[in-house]
Amino acid sequence: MIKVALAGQPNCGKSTLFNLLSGLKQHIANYPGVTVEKKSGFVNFEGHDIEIVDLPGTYSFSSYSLEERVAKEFILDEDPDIIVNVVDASNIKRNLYLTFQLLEIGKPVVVVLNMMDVAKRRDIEIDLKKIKEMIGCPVIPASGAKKEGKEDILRAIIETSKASYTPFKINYEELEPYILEVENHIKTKSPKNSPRWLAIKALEGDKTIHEKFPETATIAQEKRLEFHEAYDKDPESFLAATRYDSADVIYHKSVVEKSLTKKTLTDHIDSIILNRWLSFPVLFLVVFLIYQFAIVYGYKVTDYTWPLLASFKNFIIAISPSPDFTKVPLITDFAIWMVNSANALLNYVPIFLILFALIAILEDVGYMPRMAFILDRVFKKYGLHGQSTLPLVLGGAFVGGCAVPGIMATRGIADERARMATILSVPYMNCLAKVPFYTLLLGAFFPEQMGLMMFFISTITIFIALIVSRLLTSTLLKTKETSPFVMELPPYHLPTIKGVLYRAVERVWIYIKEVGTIVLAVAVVLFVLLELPGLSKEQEAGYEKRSQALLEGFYAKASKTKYKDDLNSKQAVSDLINAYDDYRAKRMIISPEKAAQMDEKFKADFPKEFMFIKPSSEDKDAMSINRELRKLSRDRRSILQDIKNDKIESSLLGDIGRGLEPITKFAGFDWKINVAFLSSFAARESAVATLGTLYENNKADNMRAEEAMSKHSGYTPLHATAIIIFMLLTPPCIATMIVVKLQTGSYKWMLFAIFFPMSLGVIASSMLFTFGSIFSLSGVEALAVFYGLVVALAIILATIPQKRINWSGGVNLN
Amino acid sequence: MKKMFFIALFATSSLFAHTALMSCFDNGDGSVTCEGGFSDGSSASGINFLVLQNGNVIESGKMDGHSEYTFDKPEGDYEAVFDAGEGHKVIVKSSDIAL
Repeated sequence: MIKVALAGQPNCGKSTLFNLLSGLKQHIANYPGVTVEKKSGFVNFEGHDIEIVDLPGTYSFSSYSLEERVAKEFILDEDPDIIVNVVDASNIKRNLYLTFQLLEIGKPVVVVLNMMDVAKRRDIEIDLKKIKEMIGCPVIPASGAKKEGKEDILRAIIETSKASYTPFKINYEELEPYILEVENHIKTKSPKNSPRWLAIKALEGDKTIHEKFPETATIAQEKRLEFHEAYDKDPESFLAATRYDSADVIYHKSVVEKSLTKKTLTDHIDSIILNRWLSFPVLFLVVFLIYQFAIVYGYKVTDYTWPLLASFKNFIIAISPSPDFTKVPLITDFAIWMVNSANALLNYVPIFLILFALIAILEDVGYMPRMAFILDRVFKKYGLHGQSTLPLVLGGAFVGGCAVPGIMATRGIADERARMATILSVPYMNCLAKVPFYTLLLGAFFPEQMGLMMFFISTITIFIALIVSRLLTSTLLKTKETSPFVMELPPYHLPTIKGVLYRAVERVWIYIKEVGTIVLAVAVVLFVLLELPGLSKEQEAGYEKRSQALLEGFYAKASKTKYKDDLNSKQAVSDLINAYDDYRAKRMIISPEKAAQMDEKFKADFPKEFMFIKPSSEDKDAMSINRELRKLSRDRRSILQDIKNDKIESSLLGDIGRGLEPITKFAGFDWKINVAFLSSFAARESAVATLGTLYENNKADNMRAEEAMSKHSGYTPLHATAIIIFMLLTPPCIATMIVVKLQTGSYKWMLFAIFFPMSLGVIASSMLFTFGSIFSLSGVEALAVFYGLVVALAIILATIPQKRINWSGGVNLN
Repeated sequence: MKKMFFIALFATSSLFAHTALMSCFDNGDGSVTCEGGFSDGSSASGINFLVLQNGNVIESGKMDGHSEYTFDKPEGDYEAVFDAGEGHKVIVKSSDIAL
């Protein structure tokens, strides 16, 4: 088996080439301890087994980004036989820098000049033979997009594996004696790897190597100082300069770019898209279109996908034990609760599929890096990075999104400080699942100013995120590593359907997998907390009496009909009412055309009951049973609702909610709101359901949950504003927090990501509520003031330079 | 900024996360009952309900505490409308309300 590591800079088409080389036999896992994906492929070519491992794309091999660390560790620990370096032929100059770093590793290298078609189109002439002679390794032209070069590459791999190899060596002139000293020290430590490479890395101050070889690290540090004293240069910049020079020599000797002066199509498009005046309008247009397609049309799609989820729910109900009139078996209650939690999540799948497909298209076309470029100017002021754009957009800047894929997307950010800041600010974005909650509150308290309030809510989040990021980067994250914005603007190209679908499905799958498992786990915990300790003996007896009375009433009416013998037991009535409710639930999600078909099926499944569910107009007795049945069904629902309310009120979660009242009262929250917030932490949607349940009116008056809330709760719009602000600031859900843990690699940061926003939320909403009360502001005024303050703070922070200017003096001509 | 304002304003108009649902039954006694609801299981009580005939509103009210509305069956063709705001309307035609 020949073990091959595939390395290259981002955007060089490495993934396409990997797919081309390895075909369908791929294995995807994570690199140990991190979320960076490790893809391996297996091929058999001309009788040789080859394993290809796709290393993460890296610009260099000497900074400390997660990707580079992972790539280095792979080479250190897994000792590949051959390194295949994928080079973007249309951008050869910069790519060659990495090539030299790879050559230095001391393993045979095969250089693949990918995107030869693009290079040709741009009139770039490359002398392959010359490069091959100069760097002493096979150079293979290829085009992953056009599926060209597979066999040549595999053949070169096999030939290289058989050929003899003399270690590659760059002459580092004055650094050489130092390299030799460190090399002598490290020689015995890691027989698998080239001691010269390890020595160079150690001198470069490479953390990965230092951590692996702590003794050598001490010596290397000494040598670094000595070199610095002798030549007044840092080894890392000296090494980098030498490599750049070497890359430059190759470029000048072997590449002729005829079209340097000619404007490409990409240049023409960029003159509009990156234009000083047009760039922002174009950006907003793009965001607007994403919103239209993903959110507006996405919701329309859910009209068609919802029935699938509903029938899944009906199916689960059907296979669970059926209720004995008002006694619902615990297992049935549990099953419905779980299905509801899962469905709430799955209902978003079409929206996310469209959203992520559009974002994949933007990435493929090449607009994403340009968006990052445009926004970098703004983001930099807040300690973020141009590359923070994608995570923030996925997380829901402006249009709503989901923080889970947003935080997952931060792994591409090379700047460690900006990456941490992005991870910690994405949860402030507009979580789609928070929206129904806002709508509920706005509908209850601000029916007139709904549009304005929604405008405040949906635009304030980005400002809050910027402020938080700025605060964190100038305090807690101050000491984190930063790196300059090196992002290349690749030429525009048409996206492939396969690539777009693959990435969209992949991200949706992450959403389902990560969010789904956690939501279900939390749903179980919440169910227990809501279910325990359950009804008291007296309450139970009371409900038993109520339902008995209902049944008696029904028997009495039924006894006046010819069906009296069929309907005189609790069992028979229970069966009938279950069948009736089942019928109504199914009818709700079926199209009118299919109703007749469904009736037939019900008739077959429930021969005895169906005549009462849908009586024929000739049968007066069945009609009157049907009337009673409807009444009975309604009354039963009332009892079930009351039972649910009583259960919540005495539940453990209710106790916790009441326990928090002393703190939350400053923000105006009573225990019911607390319970809603607590239960909503599983998935945001459940806040609405819980609040609805808590404020549901027992009497059958014509009121919606929100109306009931505004009339009966004694809440003012100012309360509602305080709740909204708290909601804006609190993290979306537990799943998000788990992803924070995954991406930061630390529970400390996860806890920080939970408690910092929460404290911020409690403080902000308490202050708003208190000052609002003092100055007797209305809810809208209070939110407007808050909005103004946040925007002003964001703008002020932008004008304060992040780095202090700590020099002075100069020529004073006066 | 202006453009952003419009986008955001637009973004607010129809952001419900659930789908509106309604089914209607002829009760056989000259009345029709419609039951409303939402895909996420939230109650439809208090949601506006209309009965239209030839484009005229002949009956209007709100869904009751059980998310239901019962009305006298009009002569001729009519439409029952569940109106939970922009993008959340369900219309059921009389021809689809069978006994």
